[in-house]
Amino acid sequence: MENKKRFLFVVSTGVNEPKKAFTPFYYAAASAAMGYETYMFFLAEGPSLLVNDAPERIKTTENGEPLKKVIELAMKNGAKMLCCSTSAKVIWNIKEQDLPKGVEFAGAVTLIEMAADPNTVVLYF
Amino acid sequence: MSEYKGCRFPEGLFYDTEYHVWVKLEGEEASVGATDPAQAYAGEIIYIKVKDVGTRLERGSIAATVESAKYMGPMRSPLTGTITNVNEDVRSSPSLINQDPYASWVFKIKPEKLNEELSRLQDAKSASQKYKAIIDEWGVQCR
Repeated sequence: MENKKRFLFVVSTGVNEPKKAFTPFYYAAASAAMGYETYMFFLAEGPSLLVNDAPERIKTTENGEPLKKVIELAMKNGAKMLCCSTSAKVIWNIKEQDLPKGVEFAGAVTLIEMAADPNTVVLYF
Repeated sequence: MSEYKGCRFPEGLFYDTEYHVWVKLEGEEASVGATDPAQAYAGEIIYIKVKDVGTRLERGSIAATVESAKYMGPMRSPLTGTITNVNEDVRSSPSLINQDPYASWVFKIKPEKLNEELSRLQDAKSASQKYKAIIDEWGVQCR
């Protein structure tokens, strides 16, 4: 980690709002590319962006690139991704093995602990 | 000059095929910029944030952050040393990197471990060979 500061992107929007889908990944890609430790935390509707055909299907514009591209960009730059296990299981019936490689289940305590760290900047999408 | 799918590799530069930057030695300093395939992969660069003059970098640490409409990524330093200069023309018009990547140096660095780290860089011929697979994998055509 080159900077002490950490960015935590909390993503609560999902497949129902496709025009909002790209932004958190793009900004997470940016903060990771700048050398900040970067986390994304998917809760509520957020987990729906990661599973089934959503990464391939969701596009900002008709001829735009799929969401998958920006998910891969964020991951390639080093953003770590966590998914609320309760949201995933209860709302979306998602199992951990349904998530893309590199995304892990986490709980509310993990999010609160990270957010409570004074070196963490939380951005909510 | 070596070339593959329109991507050029001028002689006289050293290439880092891990971090996708070129190095030009100029006395006690070295200029650093993006390679031709790297700029093609990024697409039209709309913003570049470069670390300030005086910043000390280890090899592999982030010297700049490059942003285009479809790409966001770090430009890593191929050399350990201190930034001595930043190209203000490139900072204000980052698409210069797309237009002429080898004239558009991004920063200059005073290297500390040049002999050791130069061995990790490649000349134009060997870089162009290495880049063939990368260019194919990325699916880029430079021009």
